[in-house]
Amino acid sequence: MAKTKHSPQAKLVGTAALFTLSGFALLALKNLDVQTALMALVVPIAFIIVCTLIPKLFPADRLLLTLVNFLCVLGIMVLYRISPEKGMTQAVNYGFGVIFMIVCMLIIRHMHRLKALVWLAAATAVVLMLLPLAIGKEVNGAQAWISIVGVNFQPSEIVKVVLLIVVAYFLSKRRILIAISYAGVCLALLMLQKDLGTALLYYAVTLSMLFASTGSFALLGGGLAGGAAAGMLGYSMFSHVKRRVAIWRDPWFDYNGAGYQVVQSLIAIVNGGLTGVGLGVGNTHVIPAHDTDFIFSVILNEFGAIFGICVVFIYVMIFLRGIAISLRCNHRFHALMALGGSLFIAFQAFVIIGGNIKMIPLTGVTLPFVSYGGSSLLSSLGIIGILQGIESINEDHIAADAMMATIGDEV
Amino acid sequence: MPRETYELTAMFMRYWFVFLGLVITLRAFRWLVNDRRSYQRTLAALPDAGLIGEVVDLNTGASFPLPREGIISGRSYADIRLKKLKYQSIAFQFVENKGVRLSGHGRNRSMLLEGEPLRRNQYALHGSRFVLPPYELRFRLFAGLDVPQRRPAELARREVHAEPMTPEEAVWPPIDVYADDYAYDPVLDATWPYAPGMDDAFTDARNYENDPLPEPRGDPEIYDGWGNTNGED
Repeated sequence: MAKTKHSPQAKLVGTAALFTLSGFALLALKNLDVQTALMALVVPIAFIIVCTLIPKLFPADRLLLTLVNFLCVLGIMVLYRISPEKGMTQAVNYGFGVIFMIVCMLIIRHMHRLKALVWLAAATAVVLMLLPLAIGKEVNGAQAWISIVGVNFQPSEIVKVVLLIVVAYFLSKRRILIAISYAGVCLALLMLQKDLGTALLYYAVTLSMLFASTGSFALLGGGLAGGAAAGMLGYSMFSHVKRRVAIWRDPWFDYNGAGYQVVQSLIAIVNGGLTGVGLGVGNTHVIPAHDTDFIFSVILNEFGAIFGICVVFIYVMIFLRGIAISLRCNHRFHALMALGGSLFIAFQAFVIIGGNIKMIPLTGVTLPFVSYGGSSLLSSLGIIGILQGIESINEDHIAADAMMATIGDEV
Repeated sequence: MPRETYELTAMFMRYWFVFLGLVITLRAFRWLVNDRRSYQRTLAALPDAGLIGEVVDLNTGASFPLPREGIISGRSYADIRLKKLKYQSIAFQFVENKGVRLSGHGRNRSMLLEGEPLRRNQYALHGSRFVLPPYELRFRLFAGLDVPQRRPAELARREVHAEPMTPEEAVWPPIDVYADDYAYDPVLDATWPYAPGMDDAFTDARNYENDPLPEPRGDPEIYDGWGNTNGED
């Protein structure tokens, strides 16, 4: 009998769905409630539907979709383990995020007249960034949140997507000064909000896109020098920056005070060992911000270092896939957008994972797709939607090139 | 479930999760590598993928692959690098149904397209000559691209300056009206200043910046000149 050959997507989706089913089934044994048992069925099914149905309805990169969705359901599972309410909220956010991803994909694919839209989006983004300064509330030292109809919302996360499109557009049109000025305005507003982690991301991505667009080492050097100067200025101006650098150098000098967060994270990581203590067994509640900034420490504690390395590899593969999409583009605008989107995901993951394991000073950014937070999940999936839209355009161009190549054959 | 029982179960299950994590990572990596190889095979079968033609330096004969969009400049980052260009830089972009749009030249009058100073957002077609001092370039576009046919520079010049044309000159491409197999098409073969009852728009002097070029003729093997395709009435 002939052996049925399964597609790579079927194997990967099947394995990931099995992982999710196993995790929620184990949590159901712990909680012994109907809700968790239902989640054990609903979440894997939703995962399979999203990974298999979306590519059938819309042109999508299946590998990217599967990896991103796996991280999303991993985040839902870990958050559900921390708190069922947060897990359910994250599941709802995931639903909205998938819709936003499809919307971004369709916008990129079908947007033909960019000029008016880009200026409108740029202006709207600046207004959104001003809102926290006007009506926002301070959380963990940063005035980056606003509350609309009882829903807390971080505008800088949505502006991240807009910044990507606007900067890529102006760089593709060789309007370098406008691109730099716009990014500078956004950075200045973030500095006023004291959201330095997001400012670092904006700066790194904009500088990388600028260098990719121009190839100018002079601009790169100038940008790095400016960044270093801004960093030193921030260090001298903001006391919490000084504190974070001091904690990074030696968290044990004040392990019960300022260094408590990092110390607990390190203890949790070491306690997990290579294979973890087991899902639902660890003392994750002793880590402050264990659902947002330190969720990676929770993963390392309960699933182990080997699994943590696998998660890091998945982020690396998402980044490499994004770079591949960028390299396949025929249009400069799409190439820059794909590059910027990939860099956003990669830098953000690097910064927060590095902060968790004390490789770099801790910053207040979230782990993409995994951390608790609607704004973060929405913006990350929006960026993936942009990548998907660009890849669908790339595939159209390849198909057109293939057809054009056959025209000569007919003659 | 008692806490101890659950802890034992979870401790057994952690190896299962690590195993699945490794399988997921390895399968994803394998898929990534195989997909990349497949893409490289596709590109190897399509050596002109991403290109729409070439630009030929008429002085030296050197040819440069022409991508869908890019910059012609002397800088290292240029898509078509012409080393003798010092400060000039032209952006080009292929637009379906129109040709290769040239822009970004500012008020530089030394750049000529088809013998005329390059105007804003002008389109180069297959065979168009483009003078970018000290280079003289010619655009060659692949067959199969949906672009209008190029008009000789002299005809274009006379149209822009509203000089009267003879009936034979007004028809493009030139047709041997005395050939035995020639079939006169009242729509396609009409000479606009002379054909009675034609739309007024065709009698005005052509303005290249606003009016698109007319639709190219169909393939004569398929199109019999009467507005019909072979085999149809």
